[in-house]
Amino acid sequence: MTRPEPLSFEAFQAMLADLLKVDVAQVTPEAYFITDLGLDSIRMLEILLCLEEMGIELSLELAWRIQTVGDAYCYYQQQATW
Amino acid sequence: MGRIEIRDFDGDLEALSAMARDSWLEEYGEDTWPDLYRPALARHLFADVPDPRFLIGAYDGAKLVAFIANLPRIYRFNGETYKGVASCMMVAHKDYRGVVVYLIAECLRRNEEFGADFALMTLEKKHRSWFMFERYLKPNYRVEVLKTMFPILHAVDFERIVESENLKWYEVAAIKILGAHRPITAPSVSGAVRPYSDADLAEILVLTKRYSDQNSLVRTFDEKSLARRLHTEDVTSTVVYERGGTVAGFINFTIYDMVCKRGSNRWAWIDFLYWEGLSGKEKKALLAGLWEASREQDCIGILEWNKNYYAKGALFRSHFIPYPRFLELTAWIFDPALSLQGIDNAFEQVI
Repeated sequence: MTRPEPLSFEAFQAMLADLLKVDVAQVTPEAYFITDLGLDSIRMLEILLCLEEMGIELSLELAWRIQTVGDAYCYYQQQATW
Repeated sequence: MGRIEIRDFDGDLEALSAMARDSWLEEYGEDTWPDLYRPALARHLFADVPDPRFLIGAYDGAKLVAFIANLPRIYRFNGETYKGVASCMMVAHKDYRGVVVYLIAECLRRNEEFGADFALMTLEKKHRSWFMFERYLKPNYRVEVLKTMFPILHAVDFERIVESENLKWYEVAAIKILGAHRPITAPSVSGAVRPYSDADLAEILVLTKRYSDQNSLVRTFDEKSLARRLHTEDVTSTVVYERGGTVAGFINFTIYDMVCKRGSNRWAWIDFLYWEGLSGKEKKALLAGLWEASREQDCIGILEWNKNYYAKGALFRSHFIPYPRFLELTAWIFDPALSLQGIDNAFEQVI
């Protein structure tokens, strides 16, 4: 069985925009989840769980590494292509 | 605003206090909340912290935007000794609420480094952090609820409580019918109620150790930390019942500012108490001493959480009444062989 192709950034961006209920244009690689997209603690955990549902293993202890949309996509890409 | 850095707290208690006040005033609105961040109280709580890694700040540049304390403590449970931490005082500036996820993550990492067996927390039911644990953390980690806690209280200055808690006429009437507004007066007893003095320390240490064999989860003290606990100017106080030249009982409390948009008022929260072996009259005399000590320190009320490590009948007979606010005493368990689920008795302060 082959692994599914990882999402392109545009698809990843659209998925996040949908999850966060924000305009896709705001979900730039440089956007910080907390300070730019205004995520509170519950929404932050939703993002982490969403990544987990996509098969991305991310221990909570490492959550602080994911601060921007770009961080999240990088982490996703590393895991998806591993 | 940019990348958040999680690092050791820089020790600026004034900045912590200001950030916490802004955050909680916005969050609680008209309701009161206990100001755990008053610099004198925070200094007292942090005095036993041996290592800066136990106090964690989140910074946006030089600006403190969130904070959590992990206060290391030794507990006894079922005859064994455990390393625990009291994880408390978690707060985030209103524009940085999501940062608490980073703080919790860093706490987990540091607690593992420390070799903690568990972390104790009190979560206010239906509050944001409680929902976070309910929905996301309890299902994925070993997070156990020891017990639901509610406060019982007695007024010291009822008029100021009515104003501060914005009580309705029917709440005022109910409290008066139940008698929680009256002073607690001392009956005639053979012993003496008096303030704690340093000479009492060794005897009180022995009394606190008696709980180790009787209760489920018991915080243990060394002499130095107990001395601070029993008396720290403007923060903690203790009243003692002396019988036949020895300390037969004591009540220890902490002064909390209860804050809301209408202002701030002091309350005495009972923390550690020993009155096994005192008669009903002697317990009431000790409670009268507590009432007087609270009044002298400008507290408007006395509050106790149902920690259940001692018999509470004397409190109810002195007209302490329940108040509808609820906490969950919760533990994040790291020791795979340990479970604290459903424990009803905890000899520990609520912070």
